[in-house]
Parts: sequence; C-alpha cells; structure tokens
Amino acid sequence: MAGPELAINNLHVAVDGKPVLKGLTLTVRGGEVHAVMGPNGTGKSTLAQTIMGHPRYQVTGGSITLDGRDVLAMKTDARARAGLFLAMQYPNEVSGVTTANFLRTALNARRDAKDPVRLKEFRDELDHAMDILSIDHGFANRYLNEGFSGGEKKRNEILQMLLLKPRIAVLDEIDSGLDIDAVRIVAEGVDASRGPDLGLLLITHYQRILNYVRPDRVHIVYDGRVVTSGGPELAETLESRGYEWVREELVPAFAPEESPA
Amino acid sequence: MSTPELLTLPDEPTVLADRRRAAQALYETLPVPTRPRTPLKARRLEAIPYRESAAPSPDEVPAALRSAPESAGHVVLSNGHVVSCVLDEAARRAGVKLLSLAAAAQHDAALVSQHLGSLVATDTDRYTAANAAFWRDGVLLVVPRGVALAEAVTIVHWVGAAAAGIFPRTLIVAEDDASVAVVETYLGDPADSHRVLVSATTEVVAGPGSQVSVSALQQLPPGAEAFLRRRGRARHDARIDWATAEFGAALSVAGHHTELAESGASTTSHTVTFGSAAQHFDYDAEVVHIGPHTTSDMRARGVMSGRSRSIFTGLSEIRQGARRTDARQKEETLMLSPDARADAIPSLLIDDNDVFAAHAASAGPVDELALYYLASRGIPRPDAIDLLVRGFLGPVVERIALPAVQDRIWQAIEAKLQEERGRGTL
Repeated sequence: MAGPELAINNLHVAVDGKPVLKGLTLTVRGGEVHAVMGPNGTGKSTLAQTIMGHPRYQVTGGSITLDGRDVLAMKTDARARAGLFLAMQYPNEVSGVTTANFLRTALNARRDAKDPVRLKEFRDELDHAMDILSIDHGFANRYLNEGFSGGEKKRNEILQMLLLKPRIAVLDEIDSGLDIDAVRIVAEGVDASRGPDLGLLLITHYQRILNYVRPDRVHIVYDGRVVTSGGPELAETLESRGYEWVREELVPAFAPEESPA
Repeated sequence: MSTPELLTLPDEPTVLADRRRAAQALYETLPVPTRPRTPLKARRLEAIPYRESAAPSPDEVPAALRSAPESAGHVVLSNGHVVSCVLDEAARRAGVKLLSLAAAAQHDAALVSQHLGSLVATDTDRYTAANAAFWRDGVLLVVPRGVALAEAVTIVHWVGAAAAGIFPRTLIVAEDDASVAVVETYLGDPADSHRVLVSATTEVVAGPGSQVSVSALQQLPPGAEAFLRRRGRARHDARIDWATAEFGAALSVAGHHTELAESGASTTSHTVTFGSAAQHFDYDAEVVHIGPHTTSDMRARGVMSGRSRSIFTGLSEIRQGARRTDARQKEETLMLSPDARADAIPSLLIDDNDVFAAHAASAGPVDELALYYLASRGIPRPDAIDLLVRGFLGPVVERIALPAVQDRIWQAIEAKLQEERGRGTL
C-alpha cells in the first residue's frame, strides 16, 4: 500500500456560525512530521476537531481527503477506521469503561466480527505500549481517563495511538500542561511510532516538544490560515522572536482571499 | 359477577385456612390500587382470568434451569407449584429446611403460621391480598442457629404458557447468627406474550446476628403484569443485603422494604433496571430505622429505552430513638431515548436528630461528547452506546457480593442490549 496522504484544501470552518478557518491548505504524507503552530484562538484546535468530524464544527468550504477519499463525507467512526487519529487536548472521562475494554472494542471495530483480537495478543501489545510510555500496567483496568492527571490523560492518548496504529495522526496540544519529563516521555512515545506508514500533524503552541520530535515542516497559522511554512528552523525563529513577530511581519504581507459565498 | 369459590388446600391447618378466608374477603373489598404515576385501571388487569388455577407444567421449564449444581439447594416452581426441590446433603445434616410451602404448612404449621404474613401485610393492596388468598405453593427455607451456607439457595419461578395467575410465596427464616444467600429468578419464555398476572411475596426473617442476602431477578415474559413484594426484618446486628434486577414483564410493581428493628442491624440494596419498548416499572425501595446504630445504603441504576417508563421511589425513614443511624440512598438513570421517562423520588423521613442521612437522584441522556470520543477511535455508535450502558450499570452490578448473581445480571443486560440492537434503537 502506498503511504498515506491527508490533503486539506482551502478549508473553511465555522463554529456557531462564526468563521474560524478561512481557507487553510496543508498536505501531510506518510513518514512526515508537520508542526502547526500559532497563537491561541487562531484555529489550530478547530482544524484538529474538523479533521475528526466533531459535530460542533461546520465545514463551509474546501475539502479534506485521505488517499483521495472524501473525509468530510464520512462519520467520525468511519474516519477513524479509515486511518485517522486525533489525540485530544481534553480527552473525555468515560465512567465505568476500563481503558483495556475500550481499546479492545476499538481494535475489534477495525476487524471482522468473526475474528476478534485474541486476548493474549492484545494484552501483550498493550503491556508493551504501556512500557514505552512508562505507564503502570494497572492503568488498563482503570476507567477511561476518570480521575487521571493531565499527564496521564496525554499518555493515554498516545497509548491509544500506539495500539490503533493510525495512518495519519493529529496530536492536539499533546504537550500542554505537562512538565518537561512528561513531555519527553510523550515525545518518545510519538517518536516510537514514526515510520513511512504514519503521517503526523503536531499542533502545538510551544516549540519545546519539537526538540524531541523533529518536524519536517512547520506551518504557522494565524487567523484561520497558514501564513508561512518552513523547515524546523521556523519553529526556532518563532521561539526566539515570539508571536508578535508573526503579527507584525507575516500577517500584513499575507493577502487574505475572499470569504466563500 | 358470580361469587367465586373459596380456595382451600387439602389438609391445610385451620389457622392458615382461616387466614386465607380473611385474605379472600379483603381481596373482594379492595379496589384496583391507585398509584400516582402508574395508571393501573387503564391496564385492565381484571380482564385477565388470573383466579383460574393453572396446573404445573414442568416440561416447559428449560433443562438448564431444572438443576443448579453449584447451589446448596434448588427449587423449581412452575405456574406457582413446586415441581422440584433439592437440598444439599450437608445442608440437610446441618438442620437446614428447604420445603414446598404447601407441604411445610401441613408438617410445620406452627412455624409457618408464626412467620407467613408476619411482614407483608395482606391489606397492602388488592394484588397482595390476592397472593395471600390464592397462593398454592411457595418455598420455606429455615437456616438454624449458627449455620452458614457457603453456597446460595436458588429458586426459579417459571411462568408457563397456560398460566393466567401465579401467586407464589417465599418465606426465609434465618435463626440467630445464621448466614444464607437466596437467589430468586422470575422468568418464562421470552417469545410468550400472553397476559399473566404474577403476584409474588418474599418474607425474610433475620434473627439476631444473622446475615441474609436476597437476590431477585425479574425476567418475566413480555405479557406479564407483576406485583413483587419483598419485606425483611433485621433484628439485633442482623444484616439483609438485597440485589434486585428488573428487566422483564410489561408492568412490574415491585420493591423491597427492610425494617431495621433492633440496634446494630444493617441493610444494603442494589437495584438494576433496564426498560425498553413500552415497559413500565414502578419500584419502591424502603428502609425503616427503628433500632439505634442501624445503617442502610440503597443504590439503584437504571437504563431506559424506547417508550419505557420507570418510577423509583426511595424512602429512608428514621424513627424516634434510632439515634446514630446512617441512611443513604442514590438513584441514577441513563436515558437512551427522548420518549422514555424516568422519575426518581428519593425521600427521607427523619424523626430523630442524632443521625446521618443522605439522598441523591439524577437522570440524563447519553453523553454525546463521550460518544464522539469513542467514535474518534473507530467505535460505531451502537457499540459505543453499548459500552456506555455497561459502564453505567457496572459499578452497581459489581457491588453485588455474589459472582453468580453478577453473571446473571450481566447476561440479562446483554440480552436487553441485543434486543435494542435488533430494534435499531442504539
């Protein structure tokens, strides 16, 4: 199978009738790591949730395709089974459902009903992934995200990514609220999953996670669009010069296109 | 309407025959009960020829239910008649009695007349009076002083295709420091939708220091109109644990009532409900604290789908003198459909001021954000709702001490979920 390709083209999205993304274009392919950076409130999380199909975000123009297939025509669960994954910034707590049971159900949703994942095989894979992320094995029997600390929730998101093996993964602020050790552990987990069959889209406000997961491309988003793209050095420039630099030097130079009718 | 004949059992002792006669007289005078949220008149229960006695039909009882190798004792009733009653040899040697109630009434008239009807008042309502008047058989279990049964005693109430009215009675007597678990199941062929009135009574007499666990799984066939009355009385330091599950029948007016009569007595109860289609459940969970230092903890969780309706009334009553008591109750409902309705009515009646009492109730739909989160991992909506339902009921099911009862409740939940999938309602 050819490597995956997620193509986002001239995407316009509104939240509660208010335009947030205003013509965003981006392509991520297998083996690549893209970082999307930008100040708060510029549409980074909207991009992430729209890719996954959150009901609150209305696409008003543009397209998203995965290997040429129309992602926007699929329901959220079908998108996931097609190979998309979103590590959420604020994962839901799901009372009464253990992490292990949830993961097994998610894996089985990708398989023939007559061929569910074998328990032993599943347990081994889960234990292995938990070891990579320094997660206590007892975690598997805790209710999904219930009472988890911020860092535990983020690690749990990456744990899910390691087990579900998506083709394109979007990590939304996976580093926020974590101390430097936790960032390192999460980043190592992300790094462990890199390969030609996985394209990564890292959405982040800070540059620090990029010290561990080196991006191939960095995109700066401002007011719902990509205002500039570059190599990893762009993240470093941003780190040293701050978002004021984006506002003062990049935005005025950027010619906004017309809003869709 | 012609005056029906009095029911008498052959060789019934005079004292019981007199009571039966009084119950029948009462039954004739009591109207169809009025319950605030359950329109019983509209159900036309009186159109069911429930007074016509049905003979037992043991062949209808599925083979898997006829024996229970893991049990200390096993009783099978068909259409309200005991068709088999087996007691483990070790239990028999320890002095445990497990008998058909009709047989016990002859051989052990003094014991039966002392306890039968001592807790469930005949005048509770018309259908409870009907049970006292028309019962033909039931179960007597006596666990002697200091005897602890390691395995449960299981009782199957099977409703056959020919039955119109079934009135079984269960009497459990735990003597001082005895310990026993009883599991009662009410069931019939799920494909049988003929109308049948089931009025069953279970009484639990818990002597000082005894521990009695009573589980009741209601999986009656879809045409059943059920009235299930359970009452227990716990004496000094005795404990009664209830686990009840309401899954079947068209209508179920059920409940359990515990009297914590003397100091140190305690009770817990766990109730699981799953309503679908047009099922109607009206459940009363009540505890009365009379003795000091008594504790109660009642928890209920229900799932309501389709156009089903549930009413859960929890009452913790603390009488004067029941100082230092601790009474808690919590009722939660998960709504799977906008057309389902659930009323949880917790209440506290407190007549002493040195007590702790708490109650809580809530009802709400499935969390759409949780469904989105599960969908984002590839789980289709019906599977996600399935997971959330199990997750919602799990914490109550898992607090039930008997693993076998947990398993049966999970099986019943599984069957309900399959039914919902078949209807396309998940």
